Amino acid sequence: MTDTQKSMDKLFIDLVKVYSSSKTSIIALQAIIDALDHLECSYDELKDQVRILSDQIKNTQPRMFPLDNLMILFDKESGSHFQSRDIDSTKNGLKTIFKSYLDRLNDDLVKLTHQGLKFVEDGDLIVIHSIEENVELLIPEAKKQGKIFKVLILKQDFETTGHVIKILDKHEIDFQVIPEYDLVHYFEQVDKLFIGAQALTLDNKLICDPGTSNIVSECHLNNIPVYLFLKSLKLSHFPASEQNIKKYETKEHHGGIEYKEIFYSNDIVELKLVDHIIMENGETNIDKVHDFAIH
Amino acid sequence: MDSILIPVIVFLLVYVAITFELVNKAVATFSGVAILVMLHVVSEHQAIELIDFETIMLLFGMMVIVSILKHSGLFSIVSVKIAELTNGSPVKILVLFSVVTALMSAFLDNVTTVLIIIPIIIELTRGLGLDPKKYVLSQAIISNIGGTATLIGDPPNVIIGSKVGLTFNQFILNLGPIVIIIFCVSLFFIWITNRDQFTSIKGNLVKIFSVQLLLEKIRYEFLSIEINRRIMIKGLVFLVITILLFVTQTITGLSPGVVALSMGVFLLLVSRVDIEHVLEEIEWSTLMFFAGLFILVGVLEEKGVIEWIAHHIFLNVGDNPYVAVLLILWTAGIMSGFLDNIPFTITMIPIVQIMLENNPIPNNLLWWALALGACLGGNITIIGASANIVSVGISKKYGVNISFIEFMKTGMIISFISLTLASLYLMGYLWIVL
Repeated sequence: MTDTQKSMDKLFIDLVKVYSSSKTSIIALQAIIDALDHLECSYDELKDQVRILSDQIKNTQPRMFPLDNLMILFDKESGSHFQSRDIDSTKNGLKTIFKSYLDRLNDDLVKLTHQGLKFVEDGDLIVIHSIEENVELLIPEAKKQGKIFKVLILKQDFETTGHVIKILDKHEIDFQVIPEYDLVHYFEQVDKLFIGAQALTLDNKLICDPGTSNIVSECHLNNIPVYLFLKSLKLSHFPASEQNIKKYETKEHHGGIEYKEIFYSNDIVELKLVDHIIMENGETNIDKVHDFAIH
Repeated sequence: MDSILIPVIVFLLVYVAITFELVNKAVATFSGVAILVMLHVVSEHQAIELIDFETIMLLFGMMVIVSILKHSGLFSIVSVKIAELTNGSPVKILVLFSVVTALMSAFLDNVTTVLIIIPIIIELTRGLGLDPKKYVLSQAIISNIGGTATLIGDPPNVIIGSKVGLTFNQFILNLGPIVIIIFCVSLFFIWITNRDQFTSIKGNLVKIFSVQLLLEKIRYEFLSIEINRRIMIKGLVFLVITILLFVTQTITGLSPGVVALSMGVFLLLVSRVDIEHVLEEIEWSTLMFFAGLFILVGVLEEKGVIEWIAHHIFLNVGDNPYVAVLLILWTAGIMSGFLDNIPFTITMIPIVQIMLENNPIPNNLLWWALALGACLGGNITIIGASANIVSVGISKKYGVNISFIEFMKTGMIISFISLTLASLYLMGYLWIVL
């Protein structure tokens, strides 16, 4: 793996800690547009430069959805723009494609939020734990619309939970923070679990933030309905084994003992544990979900 | 004889403890003071009188202003804006951050400057796949060079200005021009010796793209603190007033210590910040360290030790003014590289005063030689200046390890270049005025 690939992977991992994967993809699309503006190269070099960037984005560990899917689309759509031999018009053509992706992502988010609002009811105590579209957009929008509900935040890493708290506080949403392992004490009170995902794989596995699998399993066992908010652009063409989930190994010390600690960038959740799948066009089920994948 | 021996031994022991960081600096100096008082070498009343409160007031006042500005989020905003302006260009990162570091070090304090600049520069360079070491080193070195330009920029200047009564304008007018030259030459040296680190990324789409992501990360990371614009504006207004009062010192008759302390206290009053919070940020141990050193050196002065050193070492070289200026400059430069430049400067002030009584050199040139030597020599080693120690310490936290030798390889050459340029400047200056 090259140094630039490693740097890019690290940047995406850091951004996904504090933004949803959709927002990170929006940031990345804008970054590509800006990068094309600043790029100084000959016409002949441009195609190679764009190909290298596209390949690096598609090879990130873990795969970065919805951006990954958009780059697959881009590879198909960009060919016609490399026929003019004029660098400025080629760059403009490429930028137009990325701008259209930005619009599409934003439209999808509006639609998903609109669909999701039906599932926030007065009196609800909703459990959340990571930054996904439901936290960034749906819950604040529900509050704006005057719905009366409370949120139970399951504490994750410092940065992520801190960012969730900031969003909820900014929108004056009533919330309480508890450690993830204390959820057992709240099963009688909670009404639903809201989750997002970074991708849904071909073999029906959700790629989520670390810790999601435990929470979903626990809720499933205790009959707490699990709601998944998923954009069609997050439907992956790969199985879970090919999602490039990153494995980390660190050396730790405790009481004079040195040991190896292993952890992964993402969690894997079985889709069958999810009770409600909400997409841009409304609620769907496990059998039909892949019908919405891009081709 | 005994009355001389005890303070000399105590002073040397304290110096060793400070140099080898055996104990906290403030504890070391005050332990020395306690021994001298307990052995009746000096009374507690005499000890208090030996403290130069002008210096303490100036340092305290500036620390209050810097602390309030830091809490307002001003420095984070400036750093992020500079990061955005560089757009990932390695040369721009070096030049723009160096300009900001030099200016902040000249008008605020260089430890605060590197505390803010180093983390952001590490994030930026590492994200670009560059080696952060050279950039960290450059900022530590530039902070010491920038701090040399003004009365408030570096502790040796604060001490010289307060003890000798030199004004803010005198410092900036006499040291400013040579500091600008040294700044430019040092940056050129860093660039020319590390050209492979400064190649343009304009032709690399992946790198330009990564920079845009990186800037977003930096914006989130460094601007996630609470930005208080109300306090920021008040802080900036008071900083400008403080500098204006420094500049107009000869008209107002207000010493820098009085100005800094008054403005610091007035800013506390109008900004209505939590005083406990601000007081926590004040470097009390540094202030104690200064106070203790003033007492220790004051006792040596009263016992005639300083006069003996002046006569037997520094006045032995004859009365050629060129030799005297170069001797002070290079002695201060080399000693400051290996010893803490604060106790060294405090020790040297009475020596220079005696040298001037014996051989008056015009235009305060001996003082400028001491200031240039003490500040620029701090770049020779990591332990030569507080900003170096802090820079290397923060870098380590971010996984960038800079060894003593690595620092010295760059620091020593830049110090040699700086001191050579300072020598030429002072020689030329002396040739004109004589």
